[in-house]
Amino acid sequence: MSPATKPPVRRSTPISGRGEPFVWLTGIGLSAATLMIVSLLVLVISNGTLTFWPAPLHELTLRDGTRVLGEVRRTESYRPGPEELEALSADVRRGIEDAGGVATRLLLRTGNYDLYGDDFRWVSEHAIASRREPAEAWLIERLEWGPAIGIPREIRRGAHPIADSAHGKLAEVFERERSAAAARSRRIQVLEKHDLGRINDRLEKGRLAVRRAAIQNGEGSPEHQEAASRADRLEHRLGEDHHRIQEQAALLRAQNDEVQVVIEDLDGRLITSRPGSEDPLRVSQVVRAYPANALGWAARFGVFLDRWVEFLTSEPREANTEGGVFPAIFGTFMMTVMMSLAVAPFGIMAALYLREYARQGPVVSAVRIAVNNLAGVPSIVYGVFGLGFFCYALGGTIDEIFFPERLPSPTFGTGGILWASLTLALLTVPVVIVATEEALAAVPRSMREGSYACGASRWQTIWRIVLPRATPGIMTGLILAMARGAGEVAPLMITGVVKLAPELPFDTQFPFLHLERSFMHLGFHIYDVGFQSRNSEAGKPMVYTTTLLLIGLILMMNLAAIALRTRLKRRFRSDHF
Amino acid sequence: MSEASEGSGQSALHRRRRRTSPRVRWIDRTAAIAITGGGIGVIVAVLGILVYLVSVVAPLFAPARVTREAAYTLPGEASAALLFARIDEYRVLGLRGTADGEVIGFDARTGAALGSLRLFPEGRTLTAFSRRDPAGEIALGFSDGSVILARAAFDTEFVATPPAGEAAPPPVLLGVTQTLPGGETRRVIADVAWDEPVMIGAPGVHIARLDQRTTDAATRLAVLKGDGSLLVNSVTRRRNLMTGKTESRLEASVVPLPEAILTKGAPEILLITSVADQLYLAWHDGHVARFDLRDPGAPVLAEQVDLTSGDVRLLGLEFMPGEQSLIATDAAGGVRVWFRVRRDDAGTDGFGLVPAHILAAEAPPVMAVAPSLRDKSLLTCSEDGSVALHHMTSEEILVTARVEPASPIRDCQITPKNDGLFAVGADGKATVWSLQNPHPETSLASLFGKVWYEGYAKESFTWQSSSGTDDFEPKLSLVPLIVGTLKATLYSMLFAVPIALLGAVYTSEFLDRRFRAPIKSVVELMASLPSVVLGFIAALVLAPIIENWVLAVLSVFAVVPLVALTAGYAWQILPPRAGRILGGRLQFAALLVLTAGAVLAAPRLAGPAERLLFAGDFKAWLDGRVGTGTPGTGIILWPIFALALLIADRRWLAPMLQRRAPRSSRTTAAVTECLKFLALMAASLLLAWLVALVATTMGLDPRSLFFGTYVQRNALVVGFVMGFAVIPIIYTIADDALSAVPASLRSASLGCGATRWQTATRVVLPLAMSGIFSALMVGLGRAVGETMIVLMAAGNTPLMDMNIFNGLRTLSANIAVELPEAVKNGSLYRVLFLAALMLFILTFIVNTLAEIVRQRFRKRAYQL
Repeated sequence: MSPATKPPVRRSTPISGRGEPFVWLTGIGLSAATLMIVSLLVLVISNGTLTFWPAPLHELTLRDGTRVLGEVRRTESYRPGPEELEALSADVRRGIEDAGGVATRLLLRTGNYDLYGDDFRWVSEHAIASRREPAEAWLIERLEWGPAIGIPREIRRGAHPIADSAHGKLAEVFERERSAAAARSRRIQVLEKHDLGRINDRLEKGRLAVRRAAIQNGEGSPEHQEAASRADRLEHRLGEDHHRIQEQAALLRAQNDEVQVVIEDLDGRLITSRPGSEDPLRVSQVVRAYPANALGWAARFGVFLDRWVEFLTSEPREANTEGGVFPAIFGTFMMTVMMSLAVAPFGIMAALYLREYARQGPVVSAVRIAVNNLAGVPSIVYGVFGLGFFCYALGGTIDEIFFPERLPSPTFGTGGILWASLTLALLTVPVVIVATEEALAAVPRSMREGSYACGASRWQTIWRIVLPRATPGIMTGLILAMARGAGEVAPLMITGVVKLAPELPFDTQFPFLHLERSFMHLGFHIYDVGFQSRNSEAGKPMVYTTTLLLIGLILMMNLAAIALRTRLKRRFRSDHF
Repeated sequence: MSEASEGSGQSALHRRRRRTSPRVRWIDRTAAIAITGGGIGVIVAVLGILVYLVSVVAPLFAPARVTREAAYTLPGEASAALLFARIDEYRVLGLRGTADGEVIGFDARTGAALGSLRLFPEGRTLTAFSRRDPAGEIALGFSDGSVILARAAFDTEFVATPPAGEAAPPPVLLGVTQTLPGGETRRVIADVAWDEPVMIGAPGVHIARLDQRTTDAATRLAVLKGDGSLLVNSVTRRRNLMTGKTESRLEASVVPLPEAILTKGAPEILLITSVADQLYLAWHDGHVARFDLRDPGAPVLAEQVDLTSGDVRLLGLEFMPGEQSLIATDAAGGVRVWFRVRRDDAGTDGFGLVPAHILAAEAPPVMAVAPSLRDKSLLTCSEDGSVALHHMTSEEILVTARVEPASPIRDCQITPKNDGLFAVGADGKATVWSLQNPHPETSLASLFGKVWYEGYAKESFTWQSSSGTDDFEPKLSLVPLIVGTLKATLYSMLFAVPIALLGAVYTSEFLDRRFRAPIKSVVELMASLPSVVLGFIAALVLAPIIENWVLAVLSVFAVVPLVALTAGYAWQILPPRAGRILGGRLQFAALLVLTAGAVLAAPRLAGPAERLLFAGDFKAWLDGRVGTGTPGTGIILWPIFALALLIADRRWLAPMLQRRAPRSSRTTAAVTECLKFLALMAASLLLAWLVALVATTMGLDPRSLFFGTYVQRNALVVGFVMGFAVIPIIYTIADDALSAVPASLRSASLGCGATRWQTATRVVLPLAMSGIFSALMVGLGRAVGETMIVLMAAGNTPLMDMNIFNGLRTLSANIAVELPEAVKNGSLYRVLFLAALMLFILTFIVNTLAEIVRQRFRKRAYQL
């Protein structure tokens, strides 16, 4: 080969130039993020939906002869400690060592907290001698003390048994009596909460009128004495009604107390109506009862649906670890609505001002940057401001002017739904301002100029040309703000959310909308049940379902926003949080 | 606008008047005013948050103020030796006790005498006296060796004002009656009572010194007699419910004084604590002997210490409320505070007196010291007629005042509600001031500097805002909270930034176009998760799992990147046709499967790793009980060395290999690459191990810094879960920045023959740098302010170390925990507002920086 005909040098990219492994590394970053979110959602959804599915009751006989009956909550692997290993027999110990020192154990929900002092129990797999699923075991959800797990023997009214397990009609009679007792309990609640509540309310108003007269006109003045005598007459008149209603309620209660169900646990101990008493459980104390191992698929689905309905529509019990979350749903919903009502006009007004009316220059740009940054300020700072300014300063002043007779007990001078909504409105106003500004900016100048050329005034242009075209963007911003506001808990903790609110902020008594009342919130419910309840293991299912609900709510709002946004044609996309 | 053509007959065309109707104009103007007003109002309101926060915080640093209310001469003989002079909490009634046994009541507003009582009949000679606030208990010792226990205090009663016309209640001797607005009458009465004299010790020997403290249980009386005997007595009073009489029982025990003390002569000062567990004897030369009386039958001389140096004379020794600290005043004008703290080398009981604070160091000498009953403030009054209000914790002088005309002050007092000062001079003149001092314990130094608190062995940064007792010293230092915030932010950014940035690069450069929209939606979903949910998952689901399987979780972080890289290198070896199958759509799916597989397989390494590296028990290794620090340092150093070696390979090794063998086949090159990578990883591991060994021999142990005892709720869990919150923010903004680089540049680069990777790293990434920087800043801002996750998953312990397995408390979580229970407008309340203000300013600055950088970047990108 002559030097003149050297083969041409192949100009190919070296293989390291492709950077394939590093591309894979970046891909791992994205897939890690995706897997994180997907597994979290799967965890929440699966735990949340399956919580209410009626699980079978297992009866486990342990090697030492004791028997336990309960629902299997979960299984986990663990490392037995040295003391536990020593207590085991040699072959079991070898089995554990072969598995790398790891053993499995089950968390069993045995219920009957009033009898056992605990409602959960860990049972190691290797300690189980045999297991079965007894058909006669029932799970009975009670008003207090959590569920009872046992075997019902008979149902009595007074001293006579009206059904027992030997004659096979127990389930029917139980259900019949239970719904009758539940109807009576509901009636008692209406009598007490509604009718008696109304009477008490009027009496309280009378007393407050007396105090107000004393404050305004002085102690012993003629107005004061007149108010006092009026209050006395009112008390007299209403006293009879009060008595009558109380008697009605007492009668219903007596009827409820008559019907009792005798339930025994595995060892034959009676499940009583109150710890320390000898009476069997009253049917009126039973919320739901079913034979966990003897249900068909349809019946199980029925229990599942029934629990979901209870979850969504009734009040919580057992310190928020059982029952429903209706007040929390209502509180979240009402607070979100109030927040949106507050944020929409102000956010849109501010954005209109910045975009249409203000003279553009460095000052307005600085203001815009400042408002944009406020979206990133931690929510707790808004909570602090809400407490100091809204609750104490504004609320205290309102109390002094309008409600002096109730002092020193604060009416508006403490947290409530009004101040919480205003605080969250302040939190989300920057989001709305930014989104509205972008929507207004996206309306082409040509439209505005055309409108002016046709002789329209500035307001007419805004109202008829710009705003209609900007509405989808504004709606997106509002929905995003609502979604963000619905998920914030930290500022609410300080400005008016409580663990258990005795009344809803909206009810049938004048003035119908009680803005000074505290309320419950789904997000705070999660925090409370998980961390401030007696047994967080007992509360975990409730937390999962509440989480599912909250995520579902926020997801729906976000999907609506995304759907709205994909309908817009935009050249530049910039996301703000 | 030609209105001239009207009126003079109408043309066939009917010209319309071209003028805006007044109604439209009116609406327009109203709308303009409303929108301008509303808009400005909203903006002002939003920015006004800063103003409001500052207004709440400002009083923390405001100085105290005194105003003179009254000055008068006290009734009674000016020459009589003053024992005590006190006024009540409403500053209306005063009591003056003199050495002849007379207690004179006077009106504290005017000095008018109201009456007098005698504590003991004339003729007895008083030789020793002691009085303690707030109960006003008095002990009087006489020349015949007897002691009278008495009381001179104030009582308040409220009676309803009788309606006009009825007789007013009769006036009370030694009392002041006032009518309050709201229809109540308040009577402040002097509560003066005395017991029968009791003989203590040998009769006839006078009492030299005594001290008593009263609690609900008993009165402790320590008596030093003229013959040098020291007795500790306990007087219990029991009220017989049947007879109604009060019986007192006296139990005495003798404290034997060792020879060395007896030869020193009589001590000047005697102090006993209210539970009678410590007794102090002090001499004027500054020598102090402390007795440990915890075992009543066997008192022990625990320690002897000199409180003053040289010839300086010790003038006074006093307890602060709580009896943990001693205030020593000397003739040189010094006021020093001594703490009794745990020390191995001092007293026999393991405690010793150490000088902690110096409140004053120069003349004039302090005649009397009065501690406040509510907090750790202290009033000192001097020979030149000046009074100074100090605060013990912050060592500040809050305010000073003088009596006019100047005369040495004999006794002084801070009134019980901390709202007044009272001083009596040697000339018999008394002065009353009113005091506004709402936040004495906070100053910039006490909030951000090291402070020596009572009971602590040395200065420290501590946050402990409340406790069960009234004598508690609130420890409000923001430094542990700031360190906690930094720690949480650091670990969460450490976890979130690589994932988010790598993901953003992949999405904008390599991901198939069809997946972009769904991936963006998924990430937005991540962003919209409420942090309450994340906190719950972290604390109730992840923390227990991680606690049981720490090494398995940590191994995932190590294994997954390695697996990805190795798989990538191995992939390159396959022929191109096989490789193309997995380009495009399938690549992301394959990556998902690979990641999932790596995550599930990584825990298998944990067992062998634990046995090999951590002597079989990771938790014990963390505690420091087994093993050395080498594995820890090695683990920290390995990624650094791996990265360094990879970069070095890129710059030097790869070009060198390229020059040697430019024409090798694809397969050979790929295999070489793969082997080179594995060799580099092994080399970096070895290097890290060697350096770690060296570090361990030098004495560096990461277990004192980054690793430590394992706690269930720790920074690892918080960092991991805050990643959920922070990753989508960084990802979205970085993705925007990378996508905004013009496609023309990308095309140009690809056209020049660069690969996608080369384009990404050398063209796109440098251009998007400012956008990525702004993404990091915004993510940082979010991480700093996160409340719920930290509240639930971080253990809420205000610790000050960087141990990743330890809890922390951040500024935001602290506010959420403490604000609901803080007294409105108290010091804690305002300090929490200060924390909120700091968060506000910090995130504001960080976000503004990010915004400015981002806007500048956008301008530049458009110019391209």
